[in-house]
Amino acid sequence: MKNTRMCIQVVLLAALLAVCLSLSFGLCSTETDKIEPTGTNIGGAIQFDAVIELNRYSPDSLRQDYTMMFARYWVARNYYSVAVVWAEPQSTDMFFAARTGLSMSSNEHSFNICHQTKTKSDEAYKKPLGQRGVFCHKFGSYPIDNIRFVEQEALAERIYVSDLIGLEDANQAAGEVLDLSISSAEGGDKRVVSQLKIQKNGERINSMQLFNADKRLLKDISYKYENNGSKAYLRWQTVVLPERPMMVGFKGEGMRVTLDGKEYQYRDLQATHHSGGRTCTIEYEPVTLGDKKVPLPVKVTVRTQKEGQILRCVQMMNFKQVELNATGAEEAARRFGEFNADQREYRELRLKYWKKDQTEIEKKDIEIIEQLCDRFEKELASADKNTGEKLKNLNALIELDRIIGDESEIKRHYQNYLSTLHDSKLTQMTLVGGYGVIETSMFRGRRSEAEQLLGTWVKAVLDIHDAESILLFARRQLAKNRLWPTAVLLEAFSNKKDCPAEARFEAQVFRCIALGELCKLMRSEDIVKKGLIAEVQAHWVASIGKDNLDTMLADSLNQAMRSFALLPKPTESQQALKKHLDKIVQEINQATNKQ
Amino acid sequence: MRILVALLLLVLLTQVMGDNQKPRPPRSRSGLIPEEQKQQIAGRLASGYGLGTFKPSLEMKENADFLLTPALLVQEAISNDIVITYPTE
Repeated sequence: MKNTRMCIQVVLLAALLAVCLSLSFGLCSTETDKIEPTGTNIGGAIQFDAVIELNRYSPDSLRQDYTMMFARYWVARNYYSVAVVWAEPQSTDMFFAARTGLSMSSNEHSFNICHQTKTKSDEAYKKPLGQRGVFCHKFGSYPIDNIRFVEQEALAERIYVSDLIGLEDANQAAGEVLDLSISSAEGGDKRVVSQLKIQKNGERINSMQLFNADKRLLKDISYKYENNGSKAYLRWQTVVLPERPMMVGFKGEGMRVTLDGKEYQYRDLQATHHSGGRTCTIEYEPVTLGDKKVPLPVKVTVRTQKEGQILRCVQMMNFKQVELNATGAEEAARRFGEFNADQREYRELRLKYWKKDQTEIEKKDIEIIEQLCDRFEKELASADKNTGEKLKNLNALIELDRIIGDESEIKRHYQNYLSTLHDSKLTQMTLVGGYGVIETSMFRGRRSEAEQLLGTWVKAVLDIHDAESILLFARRQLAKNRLWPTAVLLEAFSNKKDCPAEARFEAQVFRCIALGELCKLMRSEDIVKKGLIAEVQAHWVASIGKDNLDTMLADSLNQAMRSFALLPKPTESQQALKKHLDKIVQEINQATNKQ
Repeated sequence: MRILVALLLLVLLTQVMGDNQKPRPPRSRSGLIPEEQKQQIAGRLASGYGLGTFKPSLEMKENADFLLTPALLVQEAISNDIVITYPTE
């Protein structure tokens, strides 16, 4: 009897244990068997900063525009806001649809844009937003409010966990590709993805291809994971975006082609978006948010698929959780992106005294400018400012110094501007943005100011220990006819003691090209017709004198010839550069013979 | 005159680029270019001249739209019901 009771107790205990085990296993298995990569649920909003770099290449890849945006984001699962606090360079090199004072927010009901520098500053678009329609923008224009269509286009290509139910249990031989049809149940009938081809390892997807209903490849994604203790997390995502057909259209009657007496009219044409294809690399890192470690994207690089040229890049940092709802996030973005009262006052003063001499400034405005400078200086010293905010303040300070013509203060603030870029490791912007400030002084006819800034800039550039970047920048400057500052920079660069022989020769040749073009410019009878940049440079070098410029060129040619002779085994490109030198010598001889 | 030169160049180009390997559309007895081929030529001319003006704006579109990429990427990363893909700009 006692034995039977014991048996029953053991059986009951075993059954209880089995239930407990199966329950706990079941819970665990739901956790571990979830298909990856998916996100980690986070409540509330995440705030982070971003530095965006945008490159634009001309067909010959020599003329390049380089733009940098400093932005802050507030992102939750069903809303987000973004504010652009600053953009560089503040010169003609900037290539972007909007400058600063821009904030945008999206929630379930609307997409809102606030752009302070536009007269029509606030625009709210109710959702659903409708279709983008035929692309009608030309010559580099792209009104920033078109950005509202991006979100719905991205959502139409989104893949949900519910699309892949059962995939984690599907048996797949090594290398086998699983074919999956996507229903429109989730995400509605606006979804453009209709088929997936997936390669996975257990519950982890290694690669995924997304196709539309016409079997056209939309994205080709590969994932790489890294082990962090016992758990693996997404570390890299590489996405190939093939070319996409895109309808572009003419406004009005369109384009007419007459052939054999017959007229053909075209209002729309089929263009190619992502021409040549794009390769996007997304880097993830585990970030601590509250008590969770969440893999978040920290860097995105988009390259041309064939040449691998970097078209754009974003670095994301300073992630933190914040207690903000959609309205709070929108308000935060608006405050961060907009110009505050001091900034607005400074901008009005800049407009009032644009290209005016300092003697024309009203006394009361001088006092206001001094007070503004004090406040901007104080703000600059505050520790919580990010790079974009600092650059915004420094730009205001330099401009205010310019209005009152305080050259020593311009130089001090310019030095601070260059060291801020240097400390933030924004090397290329030290070159491009640093030059932009000098060019602004040149355009305003402030030669002495420009001379001082040029000296400061050259010193800062020489601290960049990257000969390749400096030489590439110099080539691009020459392509934009920025001759004199480039010649000055190259002289200092080639005279550097630690300058490698090959880089020295290249720099000397580029300097000869710059000086040669300047000599030609000085000989030209109608400089005005050659454009503003030629005109301001001609004014600048006029003080040097034509004869001195000729002597500089002759010396520079001799130096470059000597450097070439010292090269142990000139490469093809060095020989091509030598031919450039010979051509310049020939041109000088021809010009001398004419005289 | 310009169109005639362009037409001549196009014909030469198609010969050089190996288009001659494809079966040629039948020519009319009078030696004139068939309408279908004319439409193709006109289309190519329109694309050749017209598309270049849109290119800088398409580049600008990519760059401007990229401003939302960080937001959409982080949105994926903080939602457990979404498979992480790249939100194309």
